[in-house]
Amino acid sequence: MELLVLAVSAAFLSGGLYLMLDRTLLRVVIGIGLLSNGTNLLLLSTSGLTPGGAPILAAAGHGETAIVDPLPQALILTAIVIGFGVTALLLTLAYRTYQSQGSEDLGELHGRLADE
Amino acid sequence: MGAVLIALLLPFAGAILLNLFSAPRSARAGWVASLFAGASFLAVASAALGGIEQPPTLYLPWAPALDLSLSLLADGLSLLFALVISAVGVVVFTFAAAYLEPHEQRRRFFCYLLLFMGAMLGVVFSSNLLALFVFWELTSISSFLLIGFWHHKERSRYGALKALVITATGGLAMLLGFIMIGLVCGTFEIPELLGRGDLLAASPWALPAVLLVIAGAITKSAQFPFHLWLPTAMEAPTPVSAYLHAATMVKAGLYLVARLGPIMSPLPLWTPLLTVIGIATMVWCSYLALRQSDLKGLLAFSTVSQLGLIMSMLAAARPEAAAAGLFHLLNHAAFKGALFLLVGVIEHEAHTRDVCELGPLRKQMPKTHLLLALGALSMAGMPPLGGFISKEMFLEQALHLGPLLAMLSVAGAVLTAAYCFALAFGVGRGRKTEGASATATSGAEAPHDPHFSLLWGPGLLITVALLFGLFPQSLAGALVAGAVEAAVPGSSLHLHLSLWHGFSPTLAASAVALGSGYILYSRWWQTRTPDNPLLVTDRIYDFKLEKLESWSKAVTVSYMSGLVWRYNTIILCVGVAAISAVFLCFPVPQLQAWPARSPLVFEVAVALTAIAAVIGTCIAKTRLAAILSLGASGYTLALMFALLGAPDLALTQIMVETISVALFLAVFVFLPSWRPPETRPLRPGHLALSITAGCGACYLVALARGHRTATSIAEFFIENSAKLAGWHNIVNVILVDFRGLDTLGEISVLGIAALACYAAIKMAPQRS
Repeated sequence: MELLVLAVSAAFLSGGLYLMLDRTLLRVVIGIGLLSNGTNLLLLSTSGLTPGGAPILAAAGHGETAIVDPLPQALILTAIVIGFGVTALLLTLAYRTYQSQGSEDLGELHGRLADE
Repeated sequence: MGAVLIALLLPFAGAILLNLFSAPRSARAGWVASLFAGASFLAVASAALGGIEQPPTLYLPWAPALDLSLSLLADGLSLLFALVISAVGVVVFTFAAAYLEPHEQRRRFFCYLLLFMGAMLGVVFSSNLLALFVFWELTSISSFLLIGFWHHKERSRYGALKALVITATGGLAMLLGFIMIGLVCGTFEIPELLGRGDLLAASPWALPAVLLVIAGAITKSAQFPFHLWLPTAMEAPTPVSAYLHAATMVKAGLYLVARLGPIMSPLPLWTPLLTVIGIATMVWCSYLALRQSDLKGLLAFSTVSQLGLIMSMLAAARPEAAAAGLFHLLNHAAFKGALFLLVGVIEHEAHTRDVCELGPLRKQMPKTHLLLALGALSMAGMPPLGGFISKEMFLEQALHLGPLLAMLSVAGAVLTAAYCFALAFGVGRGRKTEGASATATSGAEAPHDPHFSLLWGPGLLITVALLFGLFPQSLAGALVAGAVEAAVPGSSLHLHLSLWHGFSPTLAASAVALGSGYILYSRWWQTRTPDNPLLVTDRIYDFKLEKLESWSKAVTVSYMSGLVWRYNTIILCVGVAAISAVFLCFPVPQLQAWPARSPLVFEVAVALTAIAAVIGTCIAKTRLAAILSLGASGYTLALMFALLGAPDLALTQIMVETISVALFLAVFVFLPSWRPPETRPLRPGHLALSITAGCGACYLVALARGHRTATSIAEFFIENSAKLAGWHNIVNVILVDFRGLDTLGEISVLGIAALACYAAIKMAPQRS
């Protein structure tokens, strides 16, 4: 199971990095999104995967459940939300860039800035 | 010891006060600065008169963790240098106050000068090698600022940069040497180092340390092959040349050699290398001095040559040689300081310092010329001036150096005598042709002796040089003897300085030098025009500097391409290479096995879906497909979170993914479709790099997981979640209670991002 989780994380990370090496602005933004998702999964894999468990204490009368490490989850929860903030800001900037420059090709944008 | 501390702090205090309370062009700045310099001189003098206290050190910790302390050392050697620095300082400060034109930025000038004086006193009073280095570099910086004082001149900026590049490079080499010495001997305090020289001698670091410290000393003292910076530094205002580049700063290298001599001279190469460099510099630069037409250029080369002489004496680490070097150092400070100031006077009055353009100074400026001639004769070693005695002592010691070096020394003395005669007699006759003189004098009034305020300083220094000749023992005997004791500890030298040594081979050598020098001057110098030869080292320096600039630009341009994917490629390549290198060079820890559990079928299905969605995102041909695949991968991830026992993460992921996809689609509406040329084929290189990096990161995390070194703090949260916060969902409790402030920060980040998005869309100027 752990190997499976690691393989999925590796897929997310590799895909994200591959897209970040692209020259299309939107692909770079998508790549950053994949990268942060992959990192979150990788972080979760460090907590020791307990099937059927949850970081929730058994309330009286509900029986015992296995408790998993809550710490990575707290970190990931924060990371998901911050990752969303980053994606939203980058998307807005990509949109603005296209609006003012008429292109989302990074090479073309750089050439234009160099000419000015 | 208090007097020494006061002497050291006064110039710095003066610089700060001047900067705070003076107008930029204040006429009083010079006199205020002179007061501070004078007070500092009095403090040094009182310390010197008080005799050397036992122990002669004062320990003031500065940064003990770095072994850096501001400890002071005031033995004979320090006091001799400090007296030269502060006494010449007073003369130069008062001279400069009268010399600078009213429109010059005097406040800046005198601030730098005071800064330099303090730094120089710091060099000679520091008993900690690291503190010595700090002050040493401070003198380099103030020298840079002073050479470039007239920064509107291109040559000034060039000279300033050259001096800084060379002396600072040497200084860094010296620091490296100091660190080696300090680490081997276990202390950076000079008095403690004296007893631990054998530790250094036994260590393999001895030779590199010797070479590095020598590099520092010879760059600072402009010894061959680093003599090139001093002549170009002559673009500085003349008082600066007199003070920094004749009397004091260039002697820091000599101080270093004398100070570290007891530790370094038993080591191989120290004495022979420094002696050869010193003698070579003396001969070669006195020859170059003879070929200069610029008076300051002549003096610059002569300074370098004289420093070479002193260097060769101090390097020998024998008491008699050290006495010769140190006494010549005193003489040199007096006559060379005066000569520079007099050249400044000549330039001030005649508006040129070119030998070929000067008129007959003997008639035009008789007083100035008399002083100039006296100074030059002292440098030549003419009795009864001070230079005669130290030149005799030098020749006597040089005769011990073996036939080749002895002959070279005499040759150097001949060349020195020749350019001194040129300075003393040649300049006064005037080489300017009659016709040129007529046109020049018709335009401006003929040069004449300046006001007393410009003459008393050089006059005083020349008087001192004369008195050093007449009463050497009573004026300088104790001072030199004290310094020799510090430079060559354990020596029992009965120093007796006197004008008349009796008939000896040395006297003959002196006479030969003076006689041949005069013949060389009258037969050679007078019949030919000086040609200011270009230095080979100069050309090398220019070439290197130019190449350094063009190469560093080429290197920077090669990776600062401005293209994001190139930056990312470089970052990934370097990261992968660095981590691989660590794994190749060090033993790789074992990957710990963890309790294996074979996954259920639907878990495998979810995982494969996620991987497929990621691949789909990467190879999508249209933007819509890419966005939808991204969404699919995100939702599958949420499912995985749920399976792995993280319900809160799953919920959050679903919400965030939904909003993200909506946002992407909203932007998608405004963007053009990916045109066929932009949907480029698979890039195998990028793919390989990203897969390596991605899999490598997972491998590292898996590796780290099995090697936990600290106990987890999770237990605390599990135990106290219900007890302290009263809630069963531990993740929620951590976020809103235990780490509530972090969450507040997170919310603030989101708020700022939202504001930025709003501003980017609504407040940016619309495209016209």
